[in-house]
Amino acid sequence: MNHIKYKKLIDEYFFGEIDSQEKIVLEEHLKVCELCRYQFNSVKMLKESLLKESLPEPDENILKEARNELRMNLRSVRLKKSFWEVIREKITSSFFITPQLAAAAFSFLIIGLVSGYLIFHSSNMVQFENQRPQDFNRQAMLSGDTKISNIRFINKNAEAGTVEFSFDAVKPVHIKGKIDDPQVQNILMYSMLNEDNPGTRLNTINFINSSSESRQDNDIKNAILSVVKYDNNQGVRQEAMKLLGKFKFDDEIKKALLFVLQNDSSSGMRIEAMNRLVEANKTGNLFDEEDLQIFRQKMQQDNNNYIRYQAKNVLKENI
Amino acid sequence: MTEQEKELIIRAQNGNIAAFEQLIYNYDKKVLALALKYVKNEDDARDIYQDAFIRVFRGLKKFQFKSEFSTWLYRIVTNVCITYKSRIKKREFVAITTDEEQEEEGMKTGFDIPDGNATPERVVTNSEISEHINNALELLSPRQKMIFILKHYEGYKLREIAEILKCGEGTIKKYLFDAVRKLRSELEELYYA
Repeated sequence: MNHIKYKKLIDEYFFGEIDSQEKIVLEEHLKVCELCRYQFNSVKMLKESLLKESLPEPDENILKEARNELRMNLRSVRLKKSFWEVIREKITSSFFITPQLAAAAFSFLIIGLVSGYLIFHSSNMVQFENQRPQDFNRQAMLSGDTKISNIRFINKNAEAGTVEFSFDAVKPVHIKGKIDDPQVQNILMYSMLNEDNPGTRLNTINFINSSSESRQDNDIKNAILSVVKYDNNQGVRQEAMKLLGKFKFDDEIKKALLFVLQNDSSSGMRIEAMNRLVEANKTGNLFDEEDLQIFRQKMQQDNNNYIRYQAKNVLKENI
Repeated sequence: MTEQEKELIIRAQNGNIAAFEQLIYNYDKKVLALALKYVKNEDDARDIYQDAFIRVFRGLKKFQFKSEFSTWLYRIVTNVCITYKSRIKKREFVAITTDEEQEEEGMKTGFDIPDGNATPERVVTNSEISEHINNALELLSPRQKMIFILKHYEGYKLREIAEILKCGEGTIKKYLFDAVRKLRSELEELYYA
């Protein structure tokens, strides 16, 4: 009897990849073959065991923190990439003009001329508007200070007089509102995490600092924790650290401070983190073995005398 | 792929981070969960998450809509997972036997059947099972483990896994069934010990 064939069918059965005909064949065979029946039961047992075994799922806080960290990383990637892009584009435009690129450039020129003509000759706008897709609000875009950039042609052949392209339309928005307004805070939080200019990020932190409501907001706390840990500007990290001091100490803050203590290259930041941890310890927040291991490492390896001294004190207090 | 997703991809290809975020937020929870299942450690899973999405962002301009975005994304994620694990293994110097040796071992033990018993009889606790499954999963090669997780825990079809990992369905089947043999062999030890 060809047990190898049935062994394969049993495996396929296990992963739901068996078809109905093969299933019947297998079932018939299992009735008469003790060896394959044993194999089948063994696989069944494995399947049941695996179903009982639930592998870990990430919780929402980890996901949020990972997203914040990614936002920071993307910002630095974009800054780095833009330089290369400029170089690449310059080289490409100087040496390699493909027919597609030429066609795209020509279409771009036509679009530019038509747009310019329409902007400066409002009497002809209606005629153009009738040819636009219905969902495109041209008037809203052309009014005010809207800037169009990153025009990207999808259909470069421009068949039958049509052209498909995408672009970014950026319109400046002016907002005046209460600092405690959740909408305002959302924008500030976005700015704190995404603005390329460190001065703007710093200002944002100061604005958030002046809001009492933000100290109860978990999203803002998570954003500040990300800035404290990952912002590439030390001044911004320091301001975020000051702001963090106004939040009630909890396990997430402890983890962030320990992260700074372990990873921040600035001794000023590490000292600030150490002071916060020592202070929290004095007010009854205890450290577990994993935390103490970090203090042990700091006591032995940190190049700052104060941190080594404080780490030693923490260990004395907690052991 | 929906029109909305296509539009987000085009905007993200132009370097629009907000569009990129909107695009990946449909998948990133599953990606983090997959990474966590693979490495079973939150810090490592987060490293994989960062590494994978930075690669996705950098490589997005090369995405030409020839496959589903999710397939392309998971191809990057699984590659990061597989190489990440290899890096750790190399650093810790724990791999004494090669994958081939482990596979041979699995093939040998997969069908050693105790005499007379058609079903396992020993009562084992959940924590024992859990420990054995975890140990057994660690015995699999990185690629085998990823294929097993995608199939068993994430519920992908063999065809989909083959597409993600860019190899034949037959190869995936072989990897998967060898993995099952190894796992079964590990659990048999537990039940019949």
